[in-house]
Amino acid sequence: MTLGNVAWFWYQHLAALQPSPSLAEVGYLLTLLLLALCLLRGLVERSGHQGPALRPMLDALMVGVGLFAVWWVLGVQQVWGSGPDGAGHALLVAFPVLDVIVLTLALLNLQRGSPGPLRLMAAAMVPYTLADSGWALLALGDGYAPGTHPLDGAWVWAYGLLAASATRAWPGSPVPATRASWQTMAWPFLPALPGEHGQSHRSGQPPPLHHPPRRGSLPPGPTGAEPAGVVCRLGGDEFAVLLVGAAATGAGQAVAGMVAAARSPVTLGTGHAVVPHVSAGVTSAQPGDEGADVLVRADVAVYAAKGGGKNRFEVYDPSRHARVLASHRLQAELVHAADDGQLVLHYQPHLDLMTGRVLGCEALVRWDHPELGLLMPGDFVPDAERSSAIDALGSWVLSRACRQAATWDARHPGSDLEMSVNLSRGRCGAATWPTRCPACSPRAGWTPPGSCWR
Amino acid sequence: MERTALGAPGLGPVLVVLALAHGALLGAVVLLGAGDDETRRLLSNASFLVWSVVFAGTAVRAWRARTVASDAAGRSSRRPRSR
Repeated sequence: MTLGNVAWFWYQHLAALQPSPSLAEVGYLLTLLLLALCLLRGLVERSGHQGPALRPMLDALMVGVGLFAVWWVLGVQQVWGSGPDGAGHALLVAFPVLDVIVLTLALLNLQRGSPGPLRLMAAAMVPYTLADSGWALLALGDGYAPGTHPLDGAWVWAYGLLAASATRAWPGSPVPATRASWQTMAWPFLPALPGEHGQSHRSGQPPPLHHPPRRGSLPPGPTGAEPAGVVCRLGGDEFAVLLVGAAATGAGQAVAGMVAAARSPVTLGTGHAVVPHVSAGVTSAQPGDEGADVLVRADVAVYAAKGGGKNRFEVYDPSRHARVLASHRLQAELVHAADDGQLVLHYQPHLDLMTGRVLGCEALVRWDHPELGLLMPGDFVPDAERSSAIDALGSWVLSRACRQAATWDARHPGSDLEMSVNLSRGRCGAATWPTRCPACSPRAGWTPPGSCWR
Repeated sequence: MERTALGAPGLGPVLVVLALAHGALLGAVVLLGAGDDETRRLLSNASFLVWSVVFAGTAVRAWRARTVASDAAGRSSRRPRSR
């Protein structure tokens, strides 16, 4: 777009030229083609797990044919029938035709609830299409010169909307998964922390500190009139302790005491003694803080405590927050990465240096993240190992690598290529690994000559 | 509030408002026939040029911000060679 407008300005005001076709028209056509590619990418990404890009393409084709019929009757037909010959004729028709294609993709993006940048891009295409089609029609008559028609304003609208769309983060940037998960599990009775007078800053209602479900009150505080706080089970073996008033001032010491006390052996009803491990995170809250945000901060501190060796507590550190959020987000996205076709394997050959013969290769997984680009294993495998995603990831890598090896083996019989696959520690010892890979089974016709699992 | 690539949540709406106002003003100038043809031509072409440069600027800044964000998310040139 910028190329086209710079060239157009140059022709009109500096060089006093009016070539056709010109570099300006090339720039404008490239703008439409790039817009179409962007919107098509948005459609494909929004297609989710329901299959390849065929469905959005067919939808686009159907809507496009309908829109094109309307466009043909309204304007393109006149351009086609009355336009100049040769390249000028083709250009006059190309713009409204490309416009209707881009508008189609934009409408489909809108219909599928695309995020901010694509919505703005779609909105930009409405004035853009009107201006382009109007220009093509005007060019048939007395010709078009800038400043002679109010359609010029429509182009400005379109350019402004496109500029605004560029300020938005690209699709694939959902609300961090940690926040969503915390909101679903957060206490419904903690919409906001109490203010100075015990009133919720958000709802104006006093927080129900006394009889919420699945929680218990701590012993009375120093005044003896109110409990020092509440204990709530978040799920599984996760608990939250909310200390209020004077009890909160010694929260660090209190948590340290809890962690230390928890190390004492506990005798179960079966007679077995177990030593529980406790990891705790401490954060403070100010009046008006959202309960969900406080829980997230505490969760960040808990993760730090677990990462620091467990059996300890950590105080919330804001610098860790971004990293933890990014880690959670990657864990959530990784679950669908394989289904979305975002995982790829790169094969690094193993050579015999004496003969130069390829002995085999090592399968290396990469994540072609739609927003972050090509991620190396070090960027996401540690996160996967902290979640159940590592199992699916390992199975996918093993299966895909074995299929590739079977393909090569069929193409080059007798080559006896080795395939090396890296497996996550702690999961590679299971005897179930080979059975998870259909390509390794005898039915698939390939027996690994020398699989190397690392 | 929706996340922005530039870290400036208010920039997008400001650009939209400016562009709508600018486009409406340009259309009005042309409709009313204010000024001579050459002035309107220059005004129109300069408007296209300015907004396409604004677009290029926001796109480049967004691209750079995204690259920085990717690096901050843990991508490093010293990452392990293989897995």
